[in-house]
Order: sequence, then structure tokens, then C-alpha cells
Amino acid sequence: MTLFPLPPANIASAAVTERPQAAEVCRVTQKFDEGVALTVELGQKHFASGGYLIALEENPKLLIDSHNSSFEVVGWNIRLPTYRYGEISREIVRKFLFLNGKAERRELANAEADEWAEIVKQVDYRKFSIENAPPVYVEGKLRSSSAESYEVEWHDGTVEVVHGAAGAASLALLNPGEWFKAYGKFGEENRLVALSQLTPISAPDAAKGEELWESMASNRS
Amino acid sequence: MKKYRRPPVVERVLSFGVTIPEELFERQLEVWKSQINQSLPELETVTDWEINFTQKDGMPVFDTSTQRVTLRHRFWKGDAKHRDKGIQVWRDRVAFNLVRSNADARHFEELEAFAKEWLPRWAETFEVKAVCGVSLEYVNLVSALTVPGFVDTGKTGLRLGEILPLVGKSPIPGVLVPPFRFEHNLKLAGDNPLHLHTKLESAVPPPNQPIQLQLLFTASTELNQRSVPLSDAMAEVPAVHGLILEAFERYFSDEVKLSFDPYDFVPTTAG
Repeated sequence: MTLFPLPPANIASAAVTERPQAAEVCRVTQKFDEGVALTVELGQKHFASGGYLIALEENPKLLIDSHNSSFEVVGWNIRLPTYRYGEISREIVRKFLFLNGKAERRELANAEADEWAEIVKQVDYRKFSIENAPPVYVEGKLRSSSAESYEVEWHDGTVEVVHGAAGAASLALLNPGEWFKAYGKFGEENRLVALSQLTPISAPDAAKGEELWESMASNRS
Repeated sequence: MKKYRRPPVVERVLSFGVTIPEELFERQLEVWKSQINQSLPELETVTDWEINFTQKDGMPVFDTSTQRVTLRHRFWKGDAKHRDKGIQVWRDRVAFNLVRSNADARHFEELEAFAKEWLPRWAETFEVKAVCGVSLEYVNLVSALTVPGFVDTGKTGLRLGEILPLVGKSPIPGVLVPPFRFEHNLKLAGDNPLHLHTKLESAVPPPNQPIQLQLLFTASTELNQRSVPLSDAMAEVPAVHGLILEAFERYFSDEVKLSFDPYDFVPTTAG
């Protein structure tokens, strides 16, 4: 009895030669039931396609159907022929986006609602929400800068040392103490991941801001 | 430098061991695909399986708790029947493959140049600063096609003792018969991280051909605890290449090396 191909001990592609990939490690006397479907764990839980990344809580399982040369991603209702293993990421991202959009618009059919309920249990939805939140309007002041980072005081008083964020190089246009407005995208722990449309502005007048706030109608008695 | 016009080399692979976080690897894989698409347009996704069995009531059953499949991505120049060169990427390795082109066994220098061109781009894409060393693998075919003067019509089809004396001669009188499997691991003396793995195993011969064997030489400086800058790893390439060449000279007999048509190679300097 032979096994499925083991991970090759070397990294040559066997582009030219065909050598026995399977290795016999045990011998049994009874016929092996090939009708039994094989369940294997896929060795990844992050799936990226089209600029989106879907992170699962655990590695998904694949159900291999050797009779039909196909496989299913368990819990996703995704079935593909075995020559399309390379498309797993695309299919998972597609499935998620299609159902997510329908869920937001409350357009899920009954069967889709069941699928979605199963998928949401597996996905790190918080991570997806944070990464795909739209940019927000921000104002801030550049406190200091160095070759690799910028210290920014945001309009809410929080201070952040920014480095590595896309578009943050535009902060180099400012001198310490100068204010700016921009659109910012924030990621995990509310850290800036991208900055765009930066424009210098005058320092906000705190007194006028307080006056404006007080003049607004409220339900105070 | 001695080279051979008809060596039995069919594939050369230069690879670097690394650790890339899964999220970063998957996220940047799309970026890598768009960078490499024009030069190496043939994408191939390969599955690597880990399967285990146990027994239940005397029947073999899959041990579902320990079964896993991982995807490896290959980017080739040349279609499935005419592979030229390619790059393979895993989370824990990048490999540069150079494949023999019919009668042209090609040269190591071509593989080295290919790796030097793409390694920096790969490192930038996947944010790699250090690797655990470098490995060079030579795949040699020992068959009626590569050593025609050492074939007979006997049971083995190859006079293995005349081709590879170290592994092809039995210390006890008798005739070696297939299957063949030989494996050797050598660590060079001293603090040198250099080690050599040699493996001889049966390969599936082409139709109507006698037995075909595959002789693999893998020279490596990779160790789990190593972490060296890429530039240092590239500086180790001549050492692993030198060890491969030494293995080639020592394992193959003088008679069979003559049949590979040796000549003196003088590297030309760029003018």
C-alpha cells in the first residue's frame, strides 16, 4: 500500500524526470476502501485576492473526492476540481465578499443565510472590518519628525508616532508645530496605516471651537 | 576550471531557507505574481501532502488529526513539456530552478545570474532581511541516454559499479539488482556550516528504456539556528558550488567522466 506523495525531501521540480513520489511505510493485507473521502487540513488560514485579505480563526479543512477528482472547502460550500487548488484563495474571498454584500443589504436568501452564518463563525470579521473601513477626515499637528518617523498630535489630543504608513511621507512637507487636515485610514489599535490628501491648515482656534460647540442646540434643560 | 560538455545534470536548484509570517506571505503573493508574470508567465500550483494512517478493526483508516496539504507556487518560463527556468516560493523557502534543454546541460553561472536578478526583488516583496543559509542541488540522471557506453543487456541495464564505484559495487560477491536506494549525509569538519547530502534512487524510465537512476547532490549551509543577511548567503554560493563539483568528481568514475567530454573552461571577464 502506498501513500499519497510525501513532501519532497529536496526542492528539485522533477521538471525533467519522473521519480516515485510516494513511499511505502506500512503494509496491510486487507483492501483499502478508496470510497472513503479524505479530509485534510489546509496549511494556511490567510487568503488574499484582489487586494482583500480574509483571515480565518483556524486552518480550513478540505474534503477530497478522489472518484470525481474534486475537493470541497468544508463549511464554505466551495467545490472545485483538483486542478484548481491554486484558486482556493480567490474563491474564498469571492464567496465572502458576495455574501457579505448581500448580508449588508439584507438580501440573503434562506440557503445563503445558512451559508453566511457558518462562514461568519470561521472568519476574523473584526480584522476584515478594520482593514476595509473607509478613510476618515482627520486634523492634526506635526510635533516632531526624524528620518524614519513623525510624531503627530491628532485633533482628539492623542499622540502617535507614525512610521511605515502609506502616504505618511507627505508629513515631511510640514514643519514641527504646523497643523494639517487629511484623510486617514486606521488599522489595529487605531494606528495610522495610510494618509492621503494632506493639506496644511491654520491652527484651530480653541475658543471659537468652544463657542461653536456651546451654540449648538442640545437637550439640556 | 574543468567542465563537461555532456554531463548527466538535468536540473540545478539554488534555494534559500527563510521564515515569512503567513499573513505577509499570502498578502504579498499577489504582488509577487504581478511582478513576475511577464518574465515567468507559467503559473503552477503544486500540492504537498502529509498523510497518515492508523488501523481500526484491522482496516487502514486515515488519521484525520494529522493530515495536511500545503500549496507551493511555481513560476516558469516554458510550458509543461519545455520547462526552461523557474522560481518556487513557499513561506519557508525560495528556490531558483534551471532545467536542462535537451542536449544542452547549461551552466551553473546561468543559474547564479538568474538568482542574483530575482533574489533582491523577492526579498523586497516579502520583506526578507535574513535567511538561514543557501542550498544548491544538482539532479543527475544515470540512464542509457546519459551514460550509453555503460549499459548492458543484463538485469540491471547499467554497469553501476563502473559508473559510481562508491555505491555501485557490492562488498559481498553478487549482482546488485533494483530497487536502488543509497543515501549519505556529510558534515564538513570544523565550524564550517557546510554539509553535503547525496542520494541515489530509482527513477521512472521513459518507455522502452532500461532502468534509470537519479543521483542528487545537495550542498548546503542552512542550519535552523542560523540567520544571515542575504548578501552573506549569496557570498556562500561559491562554497556550495565547489562542494557539488567535488562530489561530482569523487562519486563518478574517471572512465564515465571521460564519456562526459571534459574541457578546460576559462571564465571571460566583462569588457
